[in-house]
Amino acid sequence: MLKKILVANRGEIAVRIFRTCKELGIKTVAIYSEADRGAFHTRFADEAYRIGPPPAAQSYLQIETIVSVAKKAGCEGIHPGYGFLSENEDFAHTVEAAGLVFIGPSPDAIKRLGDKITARTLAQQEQVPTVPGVGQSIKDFVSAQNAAKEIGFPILIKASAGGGGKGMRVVANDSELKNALERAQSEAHAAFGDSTVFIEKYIAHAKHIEVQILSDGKNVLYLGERECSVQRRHQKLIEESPAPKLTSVLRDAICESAIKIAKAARYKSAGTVEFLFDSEAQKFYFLEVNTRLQVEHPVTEMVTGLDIVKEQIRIASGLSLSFTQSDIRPRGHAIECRICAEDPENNFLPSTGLIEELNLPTGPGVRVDHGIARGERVTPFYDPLLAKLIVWAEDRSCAIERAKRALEEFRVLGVKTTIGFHRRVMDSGLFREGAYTTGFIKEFERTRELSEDELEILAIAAVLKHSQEATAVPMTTSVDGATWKRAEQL
Amino acid sequence: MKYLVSVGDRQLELNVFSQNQSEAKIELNNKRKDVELKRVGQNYFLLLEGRVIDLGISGQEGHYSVQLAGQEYEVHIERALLQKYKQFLKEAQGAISGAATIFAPMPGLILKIEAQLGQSVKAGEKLLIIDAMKMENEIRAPHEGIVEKVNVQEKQQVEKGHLLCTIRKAGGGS
Repeated sequence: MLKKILVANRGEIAVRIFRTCKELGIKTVAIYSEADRGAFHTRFADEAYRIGPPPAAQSYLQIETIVSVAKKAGCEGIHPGYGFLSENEDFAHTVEAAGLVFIGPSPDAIKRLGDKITARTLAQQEQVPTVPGVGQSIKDFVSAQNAAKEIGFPILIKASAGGGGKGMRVVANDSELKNALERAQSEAHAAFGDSTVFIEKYIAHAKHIEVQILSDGKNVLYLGERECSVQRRHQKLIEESPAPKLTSVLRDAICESAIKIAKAARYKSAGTVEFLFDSEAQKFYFLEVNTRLQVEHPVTEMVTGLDIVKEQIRIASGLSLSFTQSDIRPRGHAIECRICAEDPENNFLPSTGLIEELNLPTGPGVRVDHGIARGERVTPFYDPLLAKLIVWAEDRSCAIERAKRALEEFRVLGVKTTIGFHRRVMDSGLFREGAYTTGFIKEFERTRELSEDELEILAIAAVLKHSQEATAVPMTTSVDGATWKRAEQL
Repeated sequence: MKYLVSVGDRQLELNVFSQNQSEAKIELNNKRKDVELKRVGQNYFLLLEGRVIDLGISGQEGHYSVQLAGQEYEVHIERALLQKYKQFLKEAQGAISGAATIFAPMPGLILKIEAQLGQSVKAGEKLLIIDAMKMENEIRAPHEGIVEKVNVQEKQQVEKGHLLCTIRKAGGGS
């Protein structure tokens, strides 16, 4: 087993990985940018090293710096987390060339599956259905026009190196094409250093279903599926397992397809094979493979009882899987809500600021993976994901009730978050029924009438808060209750 | 003391008769109530005739974000008299100006400025692109008009609420 690991990431996922390392007796090393000095994740590691200025390109994406820090600190392996360098084949290669273990698939598998165009071809070779489209890279406007003509609008422009919804644009007609192509290429270049895009038919009302796989190089297992159809900007907000409204015949077919692709790519480590599921036609299409740990992996951990990060580290240490497919028996239902620093009332635009208060939910069946603390600042430099709430219960409707309860306990003051949005989704008939698709957020009635009782409560609370401010000796904006104490002494 | 409380487009008048530390006597919708608001950090507990209500409150001086049962509300309060005076001023000023000022909806980096000074734009036309948290966001004109002022440069980092540009409605007064 590896003895010391550097986590080339920040935020909740770095904390998540450190926790498993601690349980395995593995020493840990954190890295941080100047914007993350003293950040929550650095306090969870045995050692922490500063690697550069705030922009990710000058810190968390600096391959040479990160590898040399790992060497100097005496690490044996590097875990990339998700995002940043996690699907960067050069990074995996550099790590291995330095004599360290990359905790993830081989550079070769990243290359074969990480590039969406090559992955598409591989799926077709394995007779796994793919979304209608043009499986070639689109370099200019003319070839984009030709591809669009062939496929028919609406189309989806996707970055070949893409992930996380970046470099992706839905195009409804010819007049939007030029602008959308430019934006997608520019975003792809900024995010992945590669502006290659390709074009697929846009399937508006589909379910997003993915399969968690785990392979030690000899045995390839699936840990069940997750449904992730609640998305904004092609980024997931809610994930659950098992997928509601999926027949067991189709579930098996999708999982078997995922195994075929993983085997063909000689995949080793944890990975996710994503599919689009057209629920009207009851047909599924291969979408892409994420050659890394997913944000939503805890959903699978909750229903299987496994620790996917632990399995990744064991596999990277050269150990075989200690269980077989028949040992994996998912139980109950799990739902994850991503708590992002975004304003759902304002098109999910990012929100930055000081975390003035943070109450995390606890209690039966509740797990919170988070990367922030009270008194920390949310900066505009990185992904807005602050925390993940994951609930487990014996069935889906109990899990929804549990999520409601936990969301009401969850409180973040100082920045706008998606907590209120999630709470309303849990009341939505469409969500509860389970037939929702990737168009859910547009259809979802997000405004909620304030009751007379709620209005009165808000009014009383605000007025009392205001009058307490007035009677307190001015001590400005204390967050530690000092103002209040002074007021009581008067 | 009389207060006018607004939450979105809903309004309420509330009278505070007396206040002693965390406790107060109030009148609301012609009903008198004894209430108490206790604070722990920025978590608050409202005791309302036997009911215990857990709240989170941030903000100050009349502008608050209040969290209740997982939802967040913007609550504004004003002394009732002052509010009437402000309303009068606002109405007097209204309709004089025909220009829309466009503010940064989020902090970020100005990636590209498409709108040139003096250019006429249509409603929905792209003005500039802000890069925030690695997403490129297009800022579009709210209505037709002339770009009267561009207050930012490309590669400039802006805070939320930073004035980006001004669009004067065609034929609008000056």
